[in-house]
Amino acid sequence: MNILEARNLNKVYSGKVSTQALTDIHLTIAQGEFVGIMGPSGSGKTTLLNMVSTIDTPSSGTVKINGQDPYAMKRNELAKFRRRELGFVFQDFNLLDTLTVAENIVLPLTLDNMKLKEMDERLHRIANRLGIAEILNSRTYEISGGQRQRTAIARAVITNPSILLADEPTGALDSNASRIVMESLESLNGRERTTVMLVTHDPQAASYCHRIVFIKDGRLAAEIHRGESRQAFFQKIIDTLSFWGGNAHELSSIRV
Amino acid sequence: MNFPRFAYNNVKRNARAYFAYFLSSAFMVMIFFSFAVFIFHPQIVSGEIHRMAKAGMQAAEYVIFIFAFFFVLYSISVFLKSRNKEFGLLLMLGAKPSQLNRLVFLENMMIGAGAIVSGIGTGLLLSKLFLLLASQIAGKETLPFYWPLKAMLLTAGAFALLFLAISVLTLLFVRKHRVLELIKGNAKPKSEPQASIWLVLLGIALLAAGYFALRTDEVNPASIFVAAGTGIAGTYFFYSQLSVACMRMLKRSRAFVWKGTNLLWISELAYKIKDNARMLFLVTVVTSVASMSAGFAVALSQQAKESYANDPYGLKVSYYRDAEHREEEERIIADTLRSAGLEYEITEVAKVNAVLENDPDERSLYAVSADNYSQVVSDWQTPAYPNDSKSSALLLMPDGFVWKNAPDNGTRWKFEGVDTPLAVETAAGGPVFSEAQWLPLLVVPDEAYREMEAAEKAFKTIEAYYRIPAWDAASFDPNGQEARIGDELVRLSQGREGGQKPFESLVSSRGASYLSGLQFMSVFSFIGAFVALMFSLSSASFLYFKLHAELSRDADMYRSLSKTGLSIGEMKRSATLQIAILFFVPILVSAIQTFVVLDPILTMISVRGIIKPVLMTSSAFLIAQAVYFLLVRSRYLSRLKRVMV
Repeated sequence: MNILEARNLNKVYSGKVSTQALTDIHLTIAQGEFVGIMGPSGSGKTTLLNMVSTIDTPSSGTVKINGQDPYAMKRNELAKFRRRELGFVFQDFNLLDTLTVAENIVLPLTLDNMKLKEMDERLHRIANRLGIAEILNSRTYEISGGQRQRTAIARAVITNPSILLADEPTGALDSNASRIVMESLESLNGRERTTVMLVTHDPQAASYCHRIVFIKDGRLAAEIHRGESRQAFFQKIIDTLSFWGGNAHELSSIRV
Repeated sequence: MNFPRFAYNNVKRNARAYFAYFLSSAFMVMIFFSFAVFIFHPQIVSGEIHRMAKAGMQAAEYVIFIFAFFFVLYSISVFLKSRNKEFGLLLMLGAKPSQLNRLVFLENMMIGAGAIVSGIGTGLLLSKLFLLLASQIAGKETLPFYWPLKAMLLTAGAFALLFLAISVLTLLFVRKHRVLELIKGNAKPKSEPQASIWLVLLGIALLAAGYFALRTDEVNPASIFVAAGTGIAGTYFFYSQLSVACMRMLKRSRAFVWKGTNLLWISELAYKIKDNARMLFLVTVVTSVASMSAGFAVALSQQAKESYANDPYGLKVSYYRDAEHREEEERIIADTLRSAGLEYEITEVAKVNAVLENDPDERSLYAVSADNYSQVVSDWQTPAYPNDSKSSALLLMPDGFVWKNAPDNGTRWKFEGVDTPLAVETAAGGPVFSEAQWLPLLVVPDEAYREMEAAEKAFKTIEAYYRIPAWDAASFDPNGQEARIGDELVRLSQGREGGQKPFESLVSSRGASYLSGLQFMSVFSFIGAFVALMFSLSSASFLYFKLHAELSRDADMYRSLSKTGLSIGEMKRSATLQIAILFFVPILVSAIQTFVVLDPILTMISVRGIIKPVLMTSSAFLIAQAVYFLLVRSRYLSRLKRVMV
């Protein structure tokens, strides 16, 4: 079953100089898939993500998430839809300093007035899965970057969303924390069958995906699939990037 | 460009940032100056207005100054905090800390000077209006405008000192920060508000002490001062400590907090209350003082109205001892009344002091003969004297009069010069009697009265009660005949009119008393309401600036929450609740404080029914605050709405 179906997506930013940010994008993500979106800066990755996250509307084309069309919804319905069907992970975590880790994680559930008992069950399950059970009562500024991102992931998936949208989740992390965060995503995808759409610059992070879609100048440029070995896949990513993105040198500045 | 020039340009070109601080300072100067204009007014100095009103104005002036100090100090600390980034930049460019200090000092003095000049300037414009209002309310002829040099000097001097002191104090705020911290400014997360258990207990103890100080047997000035001191300190701890502790306790109840938007607003609010504790404290204390004075004034004016209604006599004249000039004085009164075409009827009551024998305190009562009493008993609506008795007396007590260590009721009372001891029966005099007589009155048998009169220390007073039917028929009008003639006679008797020398007798007019009571109360409530409204206005605008300063942080938060599915309705609910609590909690707390303080004091001076006046004043503040609240809320929400996706 397809969780995400985007057809003929176009996005034009009008203004003095109108920009065609996306052109004829088709993207389908099936249940349980782990899909990466890569491309150089300004290629339209984030625009695509914004369409899928219902934050921005396409100029033409349709997006269906779990069979529903979010752009046909009213604002309040849309807010509920985002809360229930989509999980978000951001580069800068977007956790609230005023809340503890546990409170940050359950926030979307409290907005839905879920029963306390069920919230607790879900909280502990997800915290154990992500290895953050010990820090549940800490404040967000007392924990490391990797822990913060795992908290954000826990918050994103505690509602059992149809799809988890991750925007450069390792962008602000060191290599070790990045690895832990990516392994967390991989394990969520593997064991819980969470569908993940990951937007990233980082070939290392991207190598955890099943499939990577490359975008350049607003168009789909390439698509590669992972075989057995992550190491081989990583090399394939590097090759593709250097083929589509210009030179390998530009990209190798990112840690390996 | 030299350094002072740099400081000047910094202020001039960054006017927007300095505006809130400048405005709040200028506002304080203006209020202070308006009051000074009133206090130094030639007619007020010469004592044309009620002494108490003048004292009230002076007290208000002190209060304004003290609060101006805290207010300005607080504004500047907030203001400087918002400029941390700029200071960090200057340090990074190689400014020496001493130069930075000089910059802040110079800026402060510039803003201070500007605030003093513009405050006095607008104050001058407003003082005409203020004088007009104040005199209108005081019921005096319009106080003419004058050139208030003294008031200007006082204001300028006082505030120059204040800004100097504050400029020195603020140097402490900007010291000891590292460049990185300054540049990061408000970006770094604030640690969770903490409450110290000892300070929480201290706060509770202070509030309790304030409460019980007013509920001892006797409320005296000392206990009022204790209550005021502990109450004010306790209120401070209420906001800075108790509120934080309460929020933490509240957060323990997950069943409540983990529900709907509660989690969001409660945790945000904890920070906001702690951050604004000092401001909330100031608003609360000022509103409380104003509500108390207004409640007090309203209660007293109600009492004045009641005493007027209960007093059956339009005019009372007391002649003491021999009253040599009685005939002449009586004639003047009669002439005055007759020339106004007024009919009247005089009832006389002769009183003599009855001294208790063998009383260590040598207390004495006023006594009246049973015969004389029977003439006024229907007017006074008092219990009848049992005329069959030769050795019993009736003691009439005015309402609310507490006679400490009164002799036992059962024993017979022995008075000096009276042969037979009297069996005294005490009765409540009722409101009408209480108006006619302020002290207890003993009704004694005629014979005992004659003996008292003949006693060595006898001191006789004759009270002439004038019943004036024309006045009784009409309802009281402050500009009517009763007030006018009553006032004229009182002034005449005090030698303040028509070159007359003062009477020996004491003339009192219920109309004139009512009128002066009303005037005093209105001045009193005017001052209270004026000060409080000014403060609540400035604090509300300050709260708004504060919220505005934090808006960008809040906007980021709501934006990211809205991406993850916070609806606009939920954002509104969360933000509204927070703003509402910041705006309305001080009003609520001050209403409670007002009740707690006014109740025992007014009970002591036997004024009842304060609930209505206090509710009235509190709701007036509530309405004013509600208007600010709605304004601030709509501006705040419209800004936040823009960031919602």
